Amino acid sequence: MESVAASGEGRIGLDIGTSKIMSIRQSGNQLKASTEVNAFLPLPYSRITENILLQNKVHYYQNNGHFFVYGNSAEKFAGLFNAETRRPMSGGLINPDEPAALTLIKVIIKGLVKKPKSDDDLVCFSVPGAPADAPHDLIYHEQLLKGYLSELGFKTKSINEGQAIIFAELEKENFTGIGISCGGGMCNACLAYLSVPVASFSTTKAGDFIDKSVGSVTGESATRVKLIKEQSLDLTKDPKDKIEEALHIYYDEVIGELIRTLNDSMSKASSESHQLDAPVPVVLAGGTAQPAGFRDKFAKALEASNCPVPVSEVRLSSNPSQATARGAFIAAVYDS
Amino acid sequence: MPSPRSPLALLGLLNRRLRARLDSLSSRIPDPVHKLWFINRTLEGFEAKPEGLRRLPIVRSIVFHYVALEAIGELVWSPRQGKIFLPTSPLRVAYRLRHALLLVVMLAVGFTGYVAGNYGYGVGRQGADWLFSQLIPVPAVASNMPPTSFAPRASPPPQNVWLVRADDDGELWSNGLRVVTTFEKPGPPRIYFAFPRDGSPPIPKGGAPVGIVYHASQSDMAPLAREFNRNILSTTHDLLGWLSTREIYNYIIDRFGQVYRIVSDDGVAVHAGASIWADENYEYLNLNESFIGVAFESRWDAGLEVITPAQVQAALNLTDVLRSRHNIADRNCVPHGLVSVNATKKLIGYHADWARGFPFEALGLEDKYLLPPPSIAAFGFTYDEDLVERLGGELWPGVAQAERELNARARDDGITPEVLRARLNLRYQQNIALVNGSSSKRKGFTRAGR
Repeated sequence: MESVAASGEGRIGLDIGTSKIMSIRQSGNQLKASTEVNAFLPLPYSRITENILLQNKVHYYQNNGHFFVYGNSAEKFAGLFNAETRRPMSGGLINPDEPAALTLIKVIIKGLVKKPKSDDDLVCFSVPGAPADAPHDLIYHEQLLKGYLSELGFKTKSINEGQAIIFAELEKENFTGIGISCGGGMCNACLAYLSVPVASFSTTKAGDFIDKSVGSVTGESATRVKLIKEQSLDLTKDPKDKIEEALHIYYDEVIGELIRTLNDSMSKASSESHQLDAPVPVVLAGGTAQPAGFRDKFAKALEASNCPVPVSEVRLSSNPSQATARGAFIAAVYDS
Repeated sequence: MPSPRSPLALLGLLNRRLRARLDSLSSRIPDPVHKLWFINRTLEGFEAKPEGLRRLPIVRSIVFHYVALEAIGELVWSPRQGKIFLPTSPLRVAYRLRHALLLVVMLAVGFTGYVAGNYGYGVGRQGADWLFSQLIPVPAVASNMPPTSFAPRASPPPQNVWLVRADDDGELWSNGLRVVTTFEKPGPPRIYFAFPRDGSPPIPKGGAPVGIVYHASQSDMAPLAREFNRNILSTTHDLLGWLSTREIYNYIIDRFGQVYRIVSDDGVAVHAGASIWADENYEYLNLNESFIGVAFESRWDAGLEVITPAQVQAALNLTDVLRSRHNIADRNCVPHGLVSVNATKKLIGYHADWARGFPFEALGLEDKYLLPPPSIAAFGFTYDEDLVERLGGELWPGVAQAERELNARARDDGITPEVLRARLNLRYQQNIALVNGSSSKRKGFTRAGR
């Protein structure tokens, strides 16, 4: 991974996504990333299950007569036990309907950030844009995470996911452009001019929406749809079965919604007499943007949509899954 | 983390050229964190400089480069030790001498600007007047409007005028008056003394205004003709910004009759300066605090009608609204030229706008030119030849009436008019001392007059 000249000692970038949580910290002259799936699998207590978990060195904790397998192990064991994982987060925020949500997020985060080495250690974590229908939920989400990281002994900062993409990917453009993070629970975007956020927005049609919708119309489990989506989907090729066909349809819907909201937000920014001096680049990142052909589909749809902001190019992040954490890390180091 | 700044605020800081400059300087910094720091440090540093400096075209650029140089200096030679691909030796010298360089450059620019500005304005204004007269032979007023030709008010003022609608942009009143409020500022609260005419002690008052002083903005005017629409509108817009920043006048009426509120009715605006007026019961000094200031966008010139029919109609509606809203007596609706005084020399007509030609009849107001000015009758002020000359050789009739009354009163008291004037002047000094003392106690609210 690219090195950062400024000292990042004691600084951690944390991407807290609906489907994955990733940390980035400096290790020597390099940056080191660690990821955990943001999911868990509750299993009823039994001696046999406990032995399996112990033999496989699985991350779990025991509560109320259940084992809670969490992180990367949860997905692996979901396949093994033919069960569906559950998510502590939904739509980019802590899931209020999931009683174990906060405990599990804390456990996962603690495993990733470890303990601070000094009082000055700082974690900059990503937050989504405020949902249009419940903006106060973001405050709750952000404050809970801040509180927990402070409990662990860290100083904290938060950064909008879209802005994090800009910090990570638009350094050559002096942080001018549009960064879009297409995650599991949400798509988050930000237009920045010389690093200053001009407009930001989020949509709730993202990876999970695709998985659930495709699962619903094809009769497949959302977990399996997600696996197909991440491992073999190529949006440049014609679909070869009904699952891929549905995936094409719902990807189109996600892209369409994203571009409609993008144009709407950019129009509002333009109406505030903002005039960009030159066309700006758009950078796509996040797990949902990873399938082959996503960039082309998005670029084509954006071009056809008469975007009010002149766009110079649409490009995919060099490392879509790490971009948000990397941007959060840059923001953390900036605060040195 | 960079502080979230509104796009308007950001764009208001730097023009296109300076944004490009910041972009170009930033591109030389390879490390993303240092680059982020440099951009934000420069923007914050520039934002922290006085607004006046940031608005001046050449000075803005100097200040920007000074701030950017400081940021680069911190980055290159501070513990941050960024790697910047710049010719560091000349920059190091420039950085070390930056304060002196800035001072020299600013002084040179300021002096050159002052000289060039003074000369250029004079030449430019003469040139523009000549050019306008060659391009289109119209005066600065509508060509179909002979002097003092406004028709008398046809109907009596309405008993009651009420607010129909108010939104972010303005107000609509029941008599059709539209008031644009986007430039409005609250202004300091009104607190003033009313001096009873029967000689009893002064009464401190506050809250609602008791009168209206009508002004001419005396601002630059393009000919009122279709060919100059853009000039007319941009001149008005610039004037509104200037007035709003300095809280001058409560209202201004532009040449198309659009009314703008600059300072709220309950707030004190700068407009009347040293001034005197009286109604049947009270005398008022320095009318900023007690009277509302209403200006016509116009250049008043003695004897020449300089406002449009649209302005007269708007002034009529505005006067009705203000009188209805604040219960203002006709007697206290008066032009600036009749109230303005030179307090040091004890002369009337210090500002002479509307000392003649004010359309009282068209506004349905009693003719104040016929009333003896209280500045003469109650406080012994007089006039000089300069005022007579400025008003085209003749003063308004009320002045002669006031002089006659003052002479008669001196005769009745068995003293010379000069002695009576001296006594009345002394009374003015005592009263104005009270007013000024009160104003100076209201620190922060005291402003000079126009």
